[in-house]
Amino acid sequence: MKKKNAFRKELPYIAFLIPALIVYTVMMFWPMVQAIFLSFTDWNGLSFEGLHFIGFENYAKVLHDKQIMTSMTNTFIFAIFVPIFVTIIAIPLSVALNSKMKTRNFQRAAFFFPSVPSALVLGYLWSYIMSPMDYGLLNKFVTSLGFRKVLWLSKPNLAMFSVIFVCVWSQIGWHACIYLAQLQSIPGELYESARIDGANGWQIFTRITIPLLKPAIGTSVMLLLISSLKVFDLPFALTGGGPGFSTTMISQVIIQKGFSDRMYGQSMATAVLFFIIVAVVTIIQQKGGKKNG
Amino acid sequence: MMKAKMAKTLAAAMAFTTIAGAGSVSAFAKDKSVVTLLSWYTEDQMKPLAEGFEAANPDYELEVQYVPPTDQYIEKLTLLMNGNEPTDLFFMCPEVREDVVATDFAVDLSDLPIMDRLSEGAKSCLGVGDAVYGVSLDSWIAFMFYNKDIFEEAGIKETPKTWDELVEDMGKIQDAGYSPYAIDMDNVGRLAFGLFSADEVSKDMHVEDAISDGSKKFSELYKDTMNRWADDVVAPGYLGQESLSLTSNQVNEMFATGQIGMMIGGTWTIPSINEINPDLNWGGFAFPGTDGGQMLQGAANVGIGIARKADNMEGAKAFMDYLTSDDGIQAWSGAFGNFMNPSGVDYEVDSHLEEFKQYVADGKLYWQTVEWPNSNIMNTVYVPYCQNILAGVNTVDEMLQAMDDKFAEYAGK
Repeated sequence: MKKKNAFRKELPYIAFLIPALIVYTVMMFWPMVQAIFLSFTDWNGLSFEGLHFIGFENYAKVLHDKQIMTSMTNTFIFAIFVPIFVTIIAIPLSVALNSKMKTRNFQRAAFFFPSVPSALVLGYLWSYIMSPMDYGLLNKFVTSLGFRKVLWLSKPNLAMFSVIFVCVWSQIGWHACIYLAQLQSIPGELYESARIDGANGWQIFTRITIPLLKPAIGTSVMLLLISSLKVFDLPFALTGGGPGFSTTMISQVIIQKGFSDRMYGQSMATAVLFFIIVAVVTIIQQKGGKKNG
Repeated sequence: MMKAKMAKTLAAAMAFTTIAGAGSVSAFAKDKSVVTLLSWYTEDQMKPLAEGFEAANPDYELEVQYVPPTDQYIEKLTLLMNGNEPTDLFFMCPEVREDVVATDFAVDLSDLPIMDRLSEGAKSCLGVGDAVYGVSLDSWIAFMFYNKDIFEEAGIKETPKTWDELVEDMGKIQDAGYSPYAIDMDNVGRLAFGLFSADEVSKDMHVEDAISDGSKKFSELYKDTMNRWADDVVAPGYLGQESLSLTSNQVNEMFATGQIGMMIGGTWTIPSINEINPDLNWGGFAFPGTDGGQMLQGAANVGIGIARKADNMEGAKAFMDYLTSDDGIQAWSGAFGNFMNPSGVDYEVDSHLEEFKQYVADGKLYWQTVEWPNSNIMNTVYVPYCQNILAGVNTVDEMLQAMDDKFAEYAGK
């Protein structure tokens, strides 16, 4: 009887969830299940007639494909360095934006703004800023200092650096806001007590601010990790994945294999493999976050 | 009461009139037989042809269903090929030749009288074996643009007729303080294509069939060409690494503003140059080979074909009759302004390109990716590896091996 009453009480909430559940199942869950199934077949992308089960053949091809392996490496490099640099810059920035300045509100808006336009727009914008042409702002600045033009997007290592730089530049404001929100929940008495006890700025920062920012750090790093792993638009707009394969990310390869090359089986095998890797990374990151409290 | 009755009667009469009118309009519309066309070009671009066809055939109406080229169009066409409701007409493109044969999608047009006026290249581009599945009425061409003032300043008196002369001219332009040559990042290896065409294709238009049938590898045919390109153009820095981050618009701008001596472009490049610098003193020349062979890059353009399962076969045939008539050919020329394939057609092109008319008429144009099987896939290897050769990351041998591996992977698919 108690169970029946409890269920009746839950019923309205379940009813509200059903439409969202249906949409999620149809748009996300079912295509994912289908993709996993089709990754073991030679599906031609058009009809299921003549479909053959080919086992792990697609997976074997994927693991032996140099371009796919290169793009996985690129993606992991991107996903490691972007969270590191954003975190290192966003935390001190949030402390600065939390201080009492007359222009505090303006500065918060100014730093937040780069995260507003879409990554595609930012990519195209920075491709002009970093262009080797005469109107490339960055090279105008470099040559005005007496140095030679820098081929930001033409040299493979520099191209990857440029992609990471633009991503970090666009994300620091947004993640500084996450830290700012957390900072504002730290009681001011803690800082007062620390100053009374003779702690200097650096000690306050490392012994009070950073430990109390841990929840925000966990959230920020998780968001950065996931978005960096599945990045597509920024490198595509900035470099097209080049020069060569130096900034080709795994998402670009998945799309290219599927829609351009029409090798749907390999495309889905790549996507499934990558899904597994992202899931493992996320679980490790979550568990690591819980351990550190 | 009287008023209410009158109002009701009036309303009923109006309703009846409207229905009768609609009926009569639809009855009128039914008199025109609709011919559907899956189009590579927009409705606006096809308007002259549609109007010409409908004027010559008042019983028919052409319905244009536009899908943007190239990948989206090929995807849509492939869907139609595997479904049961094709449009009556469609634009045939080289990339789907194998699929057209496999699905028996299109009518063989090789018996049409127009075929006697088309070059072998124009027919084979949209056909397989002896069958032709699309009527290609025009060709696109690409060639080497050159800045005449820079050439003069560098002491170059005439355009190069051999590869060695081209390389020498690049050196002279560089000595004069200009960048000899630039190209956008997606076409870094294009000059190598030009050299291969001038050296090999000029002697045998079907030389690359050996790659398609697997009797020769890509590396066997292209080794010399790629090494010459790397040694003569890349190594001395005549093609600078900045090309790896240039778009085609940026290259056009550099050429139009006199920063570079040469670039590769086509008829589509000319409006852009004219817009940036209408006073630019420029010219064009065909790609020179080692022994003086010369070829343009280009291919017969997409052409219209008839679906075998067309709903309105009579209408489709009527359109084809119009398209291949003198009126239809002139309408096409006026609509697209390209080089015309049928012989005996009087048409106008940009004054800089008059000499290329004969190249087109003689079929002296070639474009590798039209001939390669699964060319869009092969390009995903060719382009990045050429970029890597320019960046100093890969060698020519590594690139050739990668191309061989890719051709082998997709052989028979």
